[in-house]
Amino acid sequence: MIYPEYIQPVSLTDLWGKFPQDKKIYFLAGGTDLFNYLRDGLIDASSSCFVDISLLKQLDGITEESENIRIGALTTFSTISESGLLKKYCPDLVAAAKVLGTPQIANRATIGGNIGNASPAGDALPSLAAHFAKAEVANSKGSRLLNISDVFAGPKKTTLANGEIITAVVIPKIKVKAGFTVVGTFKKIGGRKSHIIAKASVAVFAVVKNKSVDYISVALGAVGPKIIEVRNISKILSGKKVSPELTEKCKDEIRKIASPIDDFRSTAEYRQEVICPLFEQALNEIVKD
Amino acid sequence: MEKNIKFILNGKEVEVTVHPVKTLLKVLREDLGHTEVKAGCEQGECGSCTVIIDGKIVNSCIFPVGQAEGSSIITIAGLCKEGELHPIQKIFIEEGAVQCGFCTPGIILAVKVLLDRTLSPGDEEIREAVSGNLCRCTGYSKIFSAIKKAAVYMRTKK
Repeated sequence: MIYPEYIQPVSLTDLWGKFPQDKKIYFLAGGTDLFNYLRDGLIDASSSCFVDISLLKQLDGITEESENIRIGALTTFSTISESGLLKKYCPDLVAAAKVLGTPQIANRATIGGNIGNASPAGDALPSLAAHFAKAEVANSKGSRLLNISDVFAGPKKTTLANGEIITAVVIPKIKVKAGFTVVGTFKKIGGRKSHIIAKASVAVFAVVKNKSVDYISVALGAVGPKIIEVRNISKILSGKKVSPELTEKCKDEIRKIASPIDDFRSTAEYRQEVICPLFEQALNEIVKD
Repeated sequence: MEKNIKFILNGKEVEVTVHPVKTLLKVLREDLGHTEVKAGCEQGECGSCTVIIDGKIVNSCIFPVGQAEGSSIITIAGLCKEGELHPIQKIFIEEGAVQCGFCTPGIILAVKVLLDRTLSPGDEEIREAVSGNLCRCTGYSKIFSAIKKAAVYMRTKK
């Protein structure tokens, strides 16, 4: 077996000095996607370098800042699913983390990897899009914040240059009116219950008081080349009470904006058919009397 | 580019000189002779290759051995104490929760981590704990009842 070049930097500063100039850089964290690409020949080992970032402990963990919640790129989905901070501010992301992969995968898979892998079916991504999260991207010269939707160039493609690394994701904290609460959930559909990659998925994040909606944000996964934010839903529901009529209007918006394709996992027709009920299920779960 | 990698395997320090991107599964089976760790799908789907690393279950088939440096790894062989089977293993046998046996090491390790955390797991918690381990023989009901029985046994013995 041909292995890629491998380096294991011990700090971020150490990282930049070590990059081989002529190789395609793959950052290795939990390896849950990377190892399968290597085995399936999707990575040309001889012209690649795996940069193992697992020792960069400053990239691991969830912290509260005055305006944001910051999740280090190395934070695993097991950690996310148990985070009290995220349960409070991003319940939809916690819901996504709970259904991502298996316990074995969730112990290894990282949020940075989920973003970097750029799959339209990535479980954390609809939620991050619904929160208008930003990815912190670093290179040897410094770092910048990118809107999460601007990280993706298309299925499995990012806008990042070779050797640029996602160091964290930054989620703005929502302001909550007195008497209202933060709610959110994530729904996906696949071939079975456990360990599925979504054929279609939806994240719904809202600030509500029973059925009254102060704020709502919805994003769809696996029904387009990238994650889709359904911005018009906030226009339909904000400041209103959820009703069957308004829910139908939201579903019309989703039908208009979803652009699924046929692939090895499902068909465009099926995805288009299930995305609205999936949204309705999510909405009914979090907005109720 | 091989590297010297040291870790604790079932309580004993081991050292291998291998490429750090070689999977832990291959190192355990090929370099260290630990064939009790089963190679199933080798793509992180089936859970046959499950081992416990620093208290957490992982699929060793997609785990680079370079990241094992300094960690403590437990395989199913590490659950036996002085030739005596672990209560979970005994109860799996008693309950007939083993048929072909291929998934059993991984499932028992997943159960070990669950019961280390709680000896009163709920039904859903049990199902979730072994949701990363595929069994194609038993249909899971005997596995499920063995786990419940093991929890009760370990709780009353404590």
